[in-house]
Amino acid sequence: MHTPRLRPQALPGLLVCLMLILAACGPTTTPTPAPTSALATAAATEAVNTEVALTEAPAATAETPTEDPGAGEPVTLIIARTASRTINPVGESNIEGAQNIDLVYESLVQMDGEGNILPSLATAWEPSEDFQTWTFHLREGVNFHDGTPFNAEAVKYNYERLLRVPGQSGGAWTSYADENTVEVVDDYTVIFHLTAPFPTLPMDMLYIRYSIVSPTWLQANATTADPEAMEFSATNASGTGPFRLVEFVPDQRTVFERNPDYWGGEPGGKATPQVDQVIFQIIRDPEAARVELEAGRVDIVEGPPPLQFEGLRNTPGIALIGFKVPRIAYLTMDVSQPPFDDVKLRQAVAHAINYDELMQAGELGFAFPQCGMVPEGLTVIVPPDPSLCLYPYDPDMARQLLSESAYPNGVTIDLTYAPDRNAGFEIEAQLLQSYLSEVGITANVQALDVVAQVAKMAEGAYGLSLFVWNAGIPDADDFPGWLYDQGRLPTNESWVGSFWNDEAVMQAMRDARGSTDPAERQALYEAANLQAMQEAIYIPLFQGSKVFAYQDNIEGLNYTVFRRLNIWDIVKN
Amino acid sequence: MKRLTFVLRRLLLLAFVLPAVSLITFTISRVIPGDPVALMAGPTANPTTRAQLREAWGLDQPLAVQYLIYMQRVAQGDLGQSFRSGRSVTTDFITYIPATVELATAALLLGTPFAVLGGVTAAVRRDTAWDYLVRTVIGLGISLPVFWFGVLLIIVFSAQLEWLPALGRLTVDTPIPPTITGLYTVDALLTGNFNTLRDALLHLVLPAFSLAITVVAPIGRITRTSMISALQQDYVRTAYAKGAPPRRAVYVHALRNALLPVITSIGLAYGLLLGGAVVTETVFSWPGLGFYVANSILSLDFQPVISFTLLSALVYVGINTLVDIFYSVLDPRV
Repeated sequence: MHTPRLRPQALPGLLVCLMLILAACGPTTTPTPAPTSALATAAATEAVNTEVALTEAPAATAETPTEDPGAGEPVTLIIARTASRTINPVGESNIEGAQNIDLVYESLVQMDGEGNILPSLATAWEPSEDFQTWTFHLREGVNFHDGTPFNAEAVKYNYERLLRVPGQSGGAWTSYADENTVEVVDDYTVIFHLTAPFPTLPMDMLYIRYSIVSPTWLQANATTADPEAMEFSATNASGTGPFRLVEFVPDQRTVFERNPDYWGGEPGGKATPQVDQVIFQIIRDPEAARVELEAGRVDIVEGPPPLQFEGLRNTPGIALIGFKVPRIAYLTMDVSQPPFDDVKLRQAVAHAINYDELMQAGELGFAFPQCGMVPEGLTVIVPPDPSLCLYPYDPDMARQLLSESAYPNGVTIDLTYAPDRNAGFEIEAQLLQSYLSEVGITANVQALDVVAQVAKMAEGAYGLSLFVWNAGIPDADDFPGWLYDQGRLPTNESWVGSFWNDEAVMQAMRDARGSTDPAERQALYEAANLQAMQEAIYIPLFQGSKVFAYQDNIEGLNYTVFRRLNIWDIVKN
Repeated sequence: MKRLTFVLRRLLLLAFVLPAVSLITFTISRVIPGDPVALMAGPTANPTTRAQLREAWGLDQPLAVQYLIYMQRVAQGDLGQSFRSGRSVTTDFITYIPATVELATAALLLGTPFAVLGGVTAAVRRDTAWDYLVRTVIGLGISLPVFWFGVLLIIVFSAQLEWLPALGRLTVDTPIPPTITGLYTVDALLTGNFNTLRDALLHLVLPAFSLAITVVAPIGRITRTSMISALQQDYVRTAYAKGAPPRRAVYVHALRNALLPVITSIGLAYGLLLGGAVVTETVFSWPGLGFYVANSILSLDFQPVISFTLLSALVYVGINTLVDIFYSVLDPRV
């Protein structure tokens, strides 16, 4: 073997270096049209519309020769998300799936961006004196996507179906209705004879399970093995909403088109869409999603991770926006058992935390200070009250409180969190550990999945749990109504781990739930909130936000308190 | 007769291995702390809903009963329900498997010729620069993390050079061909849909390449080792001695004998690939089995995970049994 050696060990290094150099050649400056197909090109050219005229668009022009891609061509909005979930309003419990369902289906009522209830498929409704009988007047002239008319029989069919199908979540219909509940008065009037008074029925109807599906379509697609067409409904849809489902390919893409026969919507609610087509493209890897966004092949990226914020902010043509959502990150602990039955210890923990630094480091600025356990944006508004901000960052005060507590020499506790629940938790858990150690509390940080974390909380005396609470519907009952009412569910089923069994407070929460007087409800929530903060039952950290990265030719992007993107209002220039 | 006993014994073993695998995965998935209903229903579902869910999913039964019910259903071809997709796991598998088969086949077709050719030539020119090159590429293939290398490929070839698409099976507006096999390339070809075919092929390049480099590396290594030992055999020396041209000595006499373990390793690599390449499929958003199972794990959607594990075990044990039987046919000493 006399071949001269080339120091071959260097080869792989050279290869990788070459690729790294290529990869590091700065950000994509001028995204030229992608070579793959017509739409990739169209999307790219639309994203950089000033350069369209100068750039040859090979694939697109081959088929549709147009000088002006903006006029006449269908406008497609491409949104990157990480998973597709289902489009079945009955059975879907995830917020990602709710977004799909929101486009094609409607309920009798809807919610505007501020949290007010608006008419939708019902034009008006009135309860009886005792809130046990409700009359709904239905909208005339509305057709389902399969062409059949929407009417009282459709409402009856859907609401009675709710009693038959398993695996539904959210909403309380099954607790108030039986098979005699729905009475069809005429084609456009229904009366609900409930089994108990239900003052907040219209609010409950915001849960996606109340969506009205075409009965004809459901029956046509039922089989003996699947009499309620549940499996078929997971990837097919027929509603009355502003978009029609064109194609649902699981974990690949979900395609919607504008419903040309849409009834038009109510001001402030769903509306006739501004774009012709919406595609949810599933991109699991956040780095890959960012590459697609920067190349102009994707218009909007849902929830980019905090690590990308800095880079995205500095990318020309890309905008970053965070919407305040009813979502609180907080610390919870078992206040009925040692060590956290000691209020001084709880207050010491609260004073030990540098809230501003935590939000900056963990959420990179996309978070808002939070005092009390009622976030902004709920229907019963408990206004941000400075008197609830009882525990500013003050390590000296924390040390002093600790020395006055039953644990003057400090204490060792577990600190658990579920990384999947919030991207910033990883960093925040480490920070919390260091804040606590500065005042003399040793925290053993454990990452768990949320089910394991909830199970540990249900056992009690679990130390500190870094947790996040979301509203299913934006009503105050979804925050204090759960968090201050430990008895609302059996302990082993509850996600509320405070064990704060204050009978008066729990009764107040039940009263607030049953009340229809906003002022009365607000007063009850405010009082409970103040008491909980004085006793440091929970330690709120911040109010969260939902972040989107998008092309700056997109206008009208709004994420409502209802945690849905108002896709019908989005304009793509 | 002896061979028949051997085969029967292997099949009997199979009958024990599969229930054992299912029992272990089932138990693990159910004894980890936490209640799947808590996740399905969310924090604010009422007790009625929870009870309904628990009953619908059979979670109100004792663990042993749950397992028996599950195995009974599996025997009837019912792999359970996925609450994430809202469909039966069988339907989901049918949806996701073709993507994995397509990617695995492409990766194997792309990588195997290079691996075998590289391994053979490296063995023939042992300790030359070429041999070192092949060995370093093999080393890289084994050690490069896909989550890094895949993203690097995307950045270079998709974002910077814009030569190739990086995500999914088709561009978002390319129509999906009518389902015949579920493999987009094959279906597009069969239906004469050449734009889709081109798009599907382009989408295959990066994930297949990234998968090929990791999976064919072991094939290259085995080829090289097996070839080196074959080249040292007496019959090769004899071939040379009787004046056979070196090409014939290498490619006919040595290679034919060296190929047996190579073919085995190709078979095993294919089996491995069919199990779904979780990381590659995730990086390239390739909606195959690996992607499906990774998402199921993240959503704590147990049914698909258990059934997938069972299926993988079946494929693995099946391939191993086939290989064993194949060996017993070729080598009477087994």
